[in-house]
Amino acid sequence: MRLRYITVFDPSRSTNENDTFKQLLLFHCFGSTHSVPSLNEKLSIIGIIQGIWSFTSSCSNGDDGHKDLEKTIELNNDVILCIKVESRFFISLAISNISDEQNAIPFQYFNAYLWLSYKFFKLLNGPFSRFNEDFNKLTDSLNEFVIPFWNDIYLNLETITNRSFTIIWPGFYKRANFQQASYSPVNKNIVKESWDAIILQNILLDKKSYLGLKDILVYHLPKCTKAADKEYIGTKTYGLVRNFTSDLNTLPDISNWLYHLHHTYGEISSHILTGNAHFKEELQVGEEQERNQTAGERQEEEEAQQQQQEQRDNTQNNKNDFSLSERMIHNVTLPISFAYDAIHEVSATTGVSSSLSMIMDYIPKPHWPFMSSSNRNSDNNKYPSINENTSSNTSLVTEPETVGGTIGNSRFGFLISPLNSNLLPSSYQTLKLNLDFENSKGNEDFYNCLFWYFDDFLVIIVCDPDFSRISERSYLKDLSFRLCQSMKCLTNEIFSSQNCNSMESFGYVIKDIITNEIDSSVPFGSPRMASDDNISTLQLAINGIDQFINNSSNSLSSTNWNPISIMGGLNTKSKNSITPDSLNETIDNNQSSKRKYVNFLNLMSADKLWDLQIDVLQFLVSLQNSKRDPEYFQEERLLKLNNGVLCYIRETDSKLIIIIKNWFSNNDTTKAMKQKNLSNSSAWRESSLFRSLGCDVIDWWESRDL
Amino acid sequence: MNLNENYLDTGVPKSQLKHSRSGNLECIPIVASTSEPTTSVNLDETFFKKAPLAVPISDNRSISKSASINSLNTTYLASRGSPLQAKKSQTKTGVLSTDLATSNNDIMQASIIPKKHSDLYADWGNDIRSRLAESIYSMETSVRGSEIKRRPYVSNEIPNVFKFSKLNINSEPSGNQVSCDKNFLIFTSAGKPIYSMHGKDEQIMSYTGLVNTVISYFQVNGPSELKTISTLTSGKRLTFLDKSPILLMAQSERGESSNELLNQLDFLYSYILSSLSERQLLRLFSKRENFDLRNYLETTDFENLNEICSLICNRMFPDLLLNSLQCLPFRHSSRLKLQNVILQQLEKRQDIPRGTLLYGLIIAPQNRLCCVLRPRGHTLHTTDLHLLFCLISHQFQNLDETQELWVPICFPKFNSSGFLYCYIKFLPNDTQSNEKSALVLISAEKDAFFSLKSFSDELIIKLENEGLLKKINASKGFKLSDIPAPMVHHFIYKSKQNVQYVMPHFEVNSKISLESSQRLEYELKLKTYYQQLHSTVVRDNGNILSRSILNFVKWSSKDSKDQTVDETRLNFSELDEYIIGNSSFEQESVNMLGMAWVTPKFELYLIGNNGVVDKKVLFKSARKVATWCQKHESRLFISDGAVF
Repeated sequence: MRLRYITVFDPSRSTNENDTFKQLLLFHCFGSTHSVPSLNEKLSIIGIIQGIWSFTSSCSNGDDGHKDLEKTIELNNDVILCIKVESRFFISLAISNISDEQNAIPFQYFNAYLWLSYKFFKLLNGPFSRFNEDFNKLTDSLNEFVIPFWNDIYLNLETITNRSFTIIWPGFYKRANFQQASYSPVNKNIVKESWDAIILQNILLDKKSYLGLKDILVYHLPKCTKAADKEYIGTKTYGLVRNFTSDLNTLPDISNWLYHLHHTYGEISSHILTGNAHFKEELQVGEEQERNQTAGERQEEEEAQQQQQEQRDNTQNNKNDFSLSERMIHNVTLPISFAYDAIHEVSATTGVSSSLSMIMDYIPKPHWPFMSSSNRNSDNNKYPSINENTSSNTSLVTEPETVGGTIGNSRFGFLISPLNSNLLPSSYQTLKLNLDFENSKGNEDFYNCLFWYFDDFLVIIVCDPDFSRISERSYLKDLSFRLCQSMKCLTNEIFSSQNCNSMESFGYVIKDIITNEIDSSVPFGSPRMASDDNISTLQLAINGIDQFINNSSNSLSSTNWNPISIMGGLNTKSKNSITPDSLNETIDNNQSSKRKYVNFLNLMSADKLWDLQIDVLQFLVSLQNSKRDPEYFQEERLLKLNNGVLCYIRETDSKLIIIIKNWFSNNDTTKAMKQKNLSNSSAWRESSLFRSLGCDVIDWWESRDL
Repeated sequence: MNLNENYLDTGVPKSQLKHSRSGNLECIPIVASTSEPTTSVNLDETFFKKAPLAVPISDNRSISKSASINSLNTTYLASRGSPLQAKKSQTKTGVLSTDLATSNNDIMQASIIPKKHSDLYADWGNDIRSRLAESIYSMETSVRGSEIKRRPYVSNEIPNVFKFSKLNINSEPSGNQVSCDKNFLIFTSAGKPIYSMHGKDEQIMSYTGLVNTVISYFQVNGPSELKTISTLTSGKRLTFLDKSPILLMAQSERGESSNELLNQLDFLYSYILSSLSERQLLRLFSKRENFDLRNYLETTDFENLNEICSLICNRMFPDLLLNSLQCLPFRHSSRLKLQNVILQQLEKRQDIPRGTLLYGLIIAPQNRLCCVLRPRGHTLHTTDLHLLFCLISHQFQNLDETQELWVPICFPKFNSSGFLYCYIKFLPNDTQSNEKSALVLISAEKDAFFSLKSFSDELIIKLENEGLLKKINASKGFKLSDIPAPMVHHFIYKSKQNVQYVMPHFEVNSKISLESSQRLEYELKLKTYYQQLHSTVVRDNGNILSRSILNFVKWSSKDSKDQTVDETRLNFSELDEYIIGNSSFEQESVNMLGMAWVTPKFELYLIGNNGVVDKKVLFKSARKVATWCQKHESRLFISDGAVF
């Protein structure tokens, strides 16, 4: 399977025969640049897509035709997917060699990503119609966002499969399902303040920021590791923990955007959030190689420059900095002018220009105002913080100038905030996202968003565009402090919950059509991701630095690198070696190893899991094709295959429920259940199809209802 | 209590059919005799007034009148207790009832309808109760062609949970091609229309032009072949089959997979080949690309295409879906005897040179294969046989047993470029039904008519002498009640090894003619149920999901109690309206459970009665069906045929 081209066009812009080219907003062919079609060919492609679109719309019952927003054109070896947005723009993606590979990816995935790419674009740049006056600007923005987005997928097609099949619903977002501590009256007294109360009362309703902060979104994004990994945490708890307003319509988009970034690049850092990290292709041959290399490493160079500056400024603080790898030094010494030319050349040929602005920003030698302080701080806080841990776990380690720090065993800090150097592009200070709050006056607007992390938790702070306090350092510190308190509570709550280590014998997906939420425990992962390290041929352009910093052998804490903070907890292995006797930590580790939230699907090999996902997708397609009259009837299915899959699907008005079990292991439970069933009156209400899933599913379902 | 058994069999005199004040048709004497029932039976006015959709019934509808008896039974129940209770008791007793169902026939007949009598009201309570009890039994339904005019007391009618566009039910090709949910289009690569199921010529012309442009665009710029255009959200799908010089297009909103549609298109294309042969087709178009094939095809060809399309779209025709043949259930010993007789006859006629007679078939009415004569190592493709069956049942049905036919037919899967010659003769049938079995002898030689004729004449005489003809004519297939499997509405059992399937008779009122809209509606409904069940076990490419599968599908009314039924929005079909109009009060809650069971040996698709909620009950029945079918395999399927 191979992506061929992506195109965006707006037929309404052409008024006569002579200006048809005006329709074309973007046309990008993936891969080699030799076979770029001529303008005529491009126009003929969008022409035929339009033709097919209106033809298929016309041959159905009048009004239905307008509701259809996506069409799939299947050729014998190609597929053209097309979606219509904002009632006049078309986005179309062509895929070739569909029948080539064994593990062909179903079109639904591509289709979903087509929607996602639009939604993400809208999130970052606003809707297409915003550019009504200046379509060149739209083309530029599309070039800057859509092409890198799809290029990453082109280079690694598995990207789109690495988040279970729930991705095929692009308008829905995954929610984290923690098993909360049982809220019995006794417990309630003990729990002084819940984490969300802290955020709500101390931050959102606080006098200083009342109405200035629109919303706070808390995500739990644990690292994507393989199931065999000790630190593995099931996917049940991945996703949005909660947000604090009910009228944020863009919640699915912003959530999916984060998940996408996290899964594509494996981590979340400032660069990734600001869209400055992308995959580069494996180097080819000869001259081209050299050129590509410089282009590919352009990001590294920039970072290297930063580092160089940092090093120069801070040699007295960081002796270690001289031990940077040879390659870094080499890159640093490359003449800047040469790099600049190379980037010019490459961006001219590929149309990627995102990095251009970056390098321009760096050409004047930057000065890092916070660098010395933060470095000092990190040096200070590293060991002391651990020492402090042993004495009192609650005290926060936040030095006056710090952006990030550690508390207990946890790392926290801002990823994107005005604390970042203002020499960096403005998106490093506040990321402007186009959000839609239903109750606010103009509905859609650009809001300033700050990103803050606490171990595996990512917090997005959505601020009103007029709220200026966020540029005050003291306010941010205060915010950081309170968030820390809240997150501390949250982790405690999670640790105190029970039953999270027992292996569930079933996997579930619940899609709530009303709230657009997905609850899922189906593991992520695509066949290739686990089977080989193919990704090594692809390097994150930004990787050089991030990897280097993340490397546990390097004694530098990543908090040193202010603009390059990477989200996530400290590398526990290295940590352990440092303080093997830390009592608190061992407890923490025990706790974290306890909360696994795994189910039997996690034990399956990636290939089998992928097959299962394909099967489930097939079930869903079949359900989608159902001719049932949805106005009056609901449908339930119980499917049992000879390979052990037992899948229950139920579709009602408000929910789509999928439960996957292995019926080989189900036999004992059903027998036990038979007995239970007689007495269990509430389960009686459920249909016999559901009941046959076994009592563990029924128990789980009933506990959910409560 | 006075009982009147005759009532059942004589039908309701017209004078008894009165319209109540609310317009309801009543055929229960008690209700009809007085328009003001006393309260002693809890039968207050609301009983009548609640009827939401009162449909005045014309006389020709009286066939279903007894249905209203049943409806009233259930409704009475509903009016007394809460609807929920009523539902519960229905389902509870439902489990018990079926076991009794078969044995209880007589008792039921005896106790069902009380005599029109003055003391009726005193008995009403008892009577209702007893009738209620009976109403839950799945009664043996009317026997086809018999005099008995009653319908099952609980309608074994299954509810329709599907959304059809109404126009579709008219089998007439409607002028408005745009408004139907399924259409077939056949045209030449030059864009000239050949056939369309719906739509007038003027509409089709522009259509085909467009499609042609699109297809050739991809042929030029690719080169690739346009296969499917689908819209995922609304489930609309256009599927194309390029058999240049002929192009075929199917348009469907019925949720069929593109593979299913391709099979249907291929069947249509096969029909065209069967009447033209590929060689002839290519020759016609090689001379002139813009040749208008419509001038070359006969009127009967278009009629046949119409028939095939309606068969595919609206009739219960699982042959294509399952890619298998339906077989006439026939006693195994008789079948062996039949095969032996044919083989002996072939043996006897050594004067017919070998190769003259390729295949011999006896085809029972409704396209059911009864017997096959075939050379060793050769079988006919199911598609070829389907085509032959269609031709016989549509085109040649009007022949009587004195006439015989000698027709060239191309069997596209056997040899698409040549013709085989078929000798077709209907077997005499002395029973009253006018459905006749046909004897088909297939030869590769053009002038073998007389030798085959004499062969057939002798064979028929022999069959008559052996009494086999009578048996063939008498064989009627089987009814659901022949199988001790309760709570099953209908099923299809396919034997994978034999590529044949069986299904019980439709248990519909015999008075509903084959072409009536009610019958069509029923078939379409059943067909859709099966299509949905089948789609749960196959992948998009048509392969079975896994070696063995057991799937249950349940369709039920929405639980939400607060859902008020907005009458203006109701879009029931005529039949539904009729039933609802009579049953008044409450629509029976829908609880349909169907299952698809695939094993390496067989495929079983089964639909339970409405109200069966427990999958175990259904699966138990399914197992009984499967064991029954396996036990009677030699009777139900032709395993080998007469091989020479």
